[in-house]
Amino acid sequence: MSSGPRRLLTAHFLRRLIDDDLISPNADRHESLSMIGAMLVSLGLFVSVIGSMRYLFNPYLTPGVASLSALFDHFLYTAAAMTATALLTLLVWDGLAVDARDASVLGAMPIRTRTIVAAKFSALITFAAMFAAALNLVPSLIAPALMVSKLSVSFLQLLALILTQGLVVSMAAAFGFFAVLAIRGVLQALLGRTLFTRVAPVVQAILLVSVASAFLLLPVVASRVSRAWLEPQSRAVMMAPPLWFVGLQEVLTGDILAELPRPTGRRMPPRIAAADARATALYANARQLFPDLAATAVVKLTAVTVIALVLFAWNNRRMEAPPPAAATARWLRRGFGATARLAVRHPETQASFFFTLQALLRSPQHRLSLAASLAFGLTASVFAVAVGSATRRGEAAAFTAGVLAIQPVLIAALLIGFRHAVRVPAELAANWAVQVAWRGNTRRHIAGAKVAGALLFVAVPVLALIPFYAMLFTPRDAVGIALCGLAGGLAALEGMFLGYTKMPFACGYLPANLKTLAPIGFFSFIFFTYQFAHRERAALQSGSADDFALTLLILFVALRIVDAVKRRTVRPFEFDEMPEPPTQRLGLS
Amino acid sequence: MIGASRNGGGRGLEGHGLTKRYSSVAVVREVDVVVRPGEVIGYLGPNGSGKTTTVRMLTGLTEPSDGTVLHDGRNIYGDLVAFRRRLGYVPEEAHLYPFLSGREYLELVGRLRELPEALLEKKIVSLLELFGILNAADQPISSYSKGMKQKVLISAALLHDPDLLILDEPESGLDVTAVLVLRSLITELARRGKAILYSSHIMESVERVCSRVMVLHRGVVVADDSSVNLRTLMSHDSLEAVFAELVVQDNPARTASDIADVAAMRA
Repeated sequence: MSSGPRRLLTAHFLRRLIDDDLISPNADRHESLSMIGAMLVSLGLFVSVIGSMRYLFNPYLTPGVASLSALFDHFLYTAAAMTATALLTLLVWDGLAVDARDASVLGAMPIRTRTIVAAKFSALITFAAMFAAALNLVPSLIAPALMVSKLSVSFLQLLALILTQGLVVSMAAAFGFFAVLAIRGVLQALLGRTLFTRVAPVVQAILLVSVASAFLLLPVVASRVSRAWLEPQSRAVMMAPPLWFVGLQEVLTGDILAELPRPTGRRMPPRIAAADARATALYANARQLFPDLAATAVVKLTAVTVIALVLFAWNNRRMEAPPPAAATARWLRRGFGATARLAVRHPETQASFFFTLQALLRSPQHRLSLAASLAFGLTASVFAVAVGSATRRGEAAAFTAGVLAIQPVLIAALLIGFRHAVRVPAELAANWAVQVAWRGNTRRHIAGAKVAGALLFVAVPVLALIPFYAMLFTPRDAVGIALCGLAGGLAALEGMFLGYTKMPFACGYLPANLKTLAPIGFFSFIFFTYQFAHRERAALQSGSADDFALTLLILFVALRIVDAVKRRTVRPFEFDEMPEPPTQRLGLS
Repeated sequence: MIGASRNGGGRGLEGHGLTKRYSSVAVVREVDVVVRPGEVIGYLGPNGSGKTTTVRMLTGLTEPSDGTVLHDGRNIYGDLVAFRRRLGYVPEEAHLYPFLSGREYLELVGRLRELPEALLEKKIVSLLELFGILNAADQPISSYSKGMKQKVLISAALLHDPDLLILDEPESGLDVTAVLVLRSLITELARRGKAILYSSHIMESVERVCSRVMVLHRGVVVADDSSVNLRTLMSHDSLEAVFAELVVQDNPARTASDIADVAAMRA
């Protein structure tokens, strides 16, 4: 079999992975790819330079201190490469196998199934490799050079450091990629196609939230891991996969820094010499672990690659369309529908309420938005606990602002994700149906979407956190916290939708000006959630949590009245507002 | 007669001088369309002749560059929503929300049109049953065949008992039985006073169900009369022959032979 068809198919699959699965089909591919590439390169450059400050501005950088600090950096780069590649792989989860489109288009062609499968696999590897290269190239070149700029390292030693860093982060990225592929493969092989079709979206969402949270928490985790590394009793932490690859990196080139000659005599002050000796001893203590970790890295990477490869070939051995997704149990659908209709009375509001739930829970790109906001919320909650607890260490343990901030932080993050999701069309080509059937006013549609948002992103998190707060404080306090969260969440939801005039999920998507909105949004998020937590803490300590909840409820009612007044006059909007063409800013269109 | 009372005295749909230009190129020019209650107008034309553009202008989904669309004598752009309340539309492409089931899609459309819940439920079940897809009602639309999607679209267009139906190639993907049902359905709806614009490529259907036929070619109406008159005027036995003379430029047999020759080419 000539490699012609395989090459062509690889290019086809690669293009489709980028066009259909990563970038919106309506976006300009060149512009989007340039932006993603530029963003990855700048991120790498930024992290490398910021991370190298402590080497560049240390007037007495010694080999011992440098090798110890390098452990932290190596963990950060390795873990970032691994989690970012795993995240990307999860984003294209549906494209990780020969799918229905491939089966229907290519199944009739005189091409062997194994050629198609090999081409798909090559496209996936090329896709992940391109991403990993864009993310890791700059840090691999710059970070080692900046790290040793004040040490006496030869050119060959520097080259070895650069090549090793490049190799190790590439291996870590490969591990992230193959691990996701292997998990998918194992699930599909064990569950069969029908059950897998039902379970896959849930698994993807769980993995997305976990990996995205891990990625966002990396700076915090990295500092803790590097500390734990030096404490023998905390070696359980070293089960973390990035550490295996750090071990490999240290085995390959760790001795270059560790065994550099130390300055002697008056050139090194005694305090610095003592610090270097201490760092050298700590590094030597950790060094005994490196060979085992390096071996684990090689063995686990090989194992996960083989598993992913074998299961990919096995699961795709037949070109067949996947079975149709199973229907929701009728009694469940009817039961929920009847209950919801009691709360949501108007047919148009009902239409929007049910459609919002269906779009959010079933549309892949909406699930993705929500998974990202949940991951952000969880990460921000961890930071909130860390920061809030640290500033209140001297006070009584009860009602720390950090712990109380978990609820508003989580709800606010989810509501921001929801506010974004309603602007994204559920299916652009199908919008005509809503356009033809709606009755001229968006008020009831937005009301339906808000009820669905309140249910999913206010009520559910509040209820989920009640046992947590009940364990931490008392059941009565937990109820008070829940009431405050509920009223605050409803007010926040109402506030976020005050200026929203379009049809939820049924209009063309026009990206917001993130350069302006993102910083404002971020600082508002920090400010309001912490203000909320502090005021809630004061209310709980003074026993007036019910009053605080009532105040928030009055704020919610006031916002609803403002909203109703604003929506009395119908404001016009475009259904099919398309993104501006990429040449517009250059004045060419 | 459910529809007759609502349509009593109505003037139906009128498009006058409809023109649509994209970047100064006119894809439809000066088209006049009139569909009276109880009438079925066949709208024919080869691919790219501007049929779907005209249909979209008549539904208000695309604004004409020139010309007006009137429903019961009122410009539809004066109150587009009021017009659409009385419109049932089956588009050429079956674009539906793939993550909804057929039942959920019809529930969405019915609720948007403010149909009472009990009536909506009854209509959905009956329509799906009559179209033979009730057993797949709770499956996601993404798993539907083209014909099943088309049946959902036709059901959605009929849910609210509209006065005016605009059907853009509604038989696309339907099996023979369903096409026969559709043909009878169109006749029955017209008998009940609905105004129907029926765009199709199936000459036999058009000839059987339409009281009048319009032929569009390169954006211009080249014929507008009853199929009987058209056949008589142009001295042909069938509408297909009339259509061929009006819009087919080349000899189809010759073109077919040329295509077969190209397919048989060897290096």
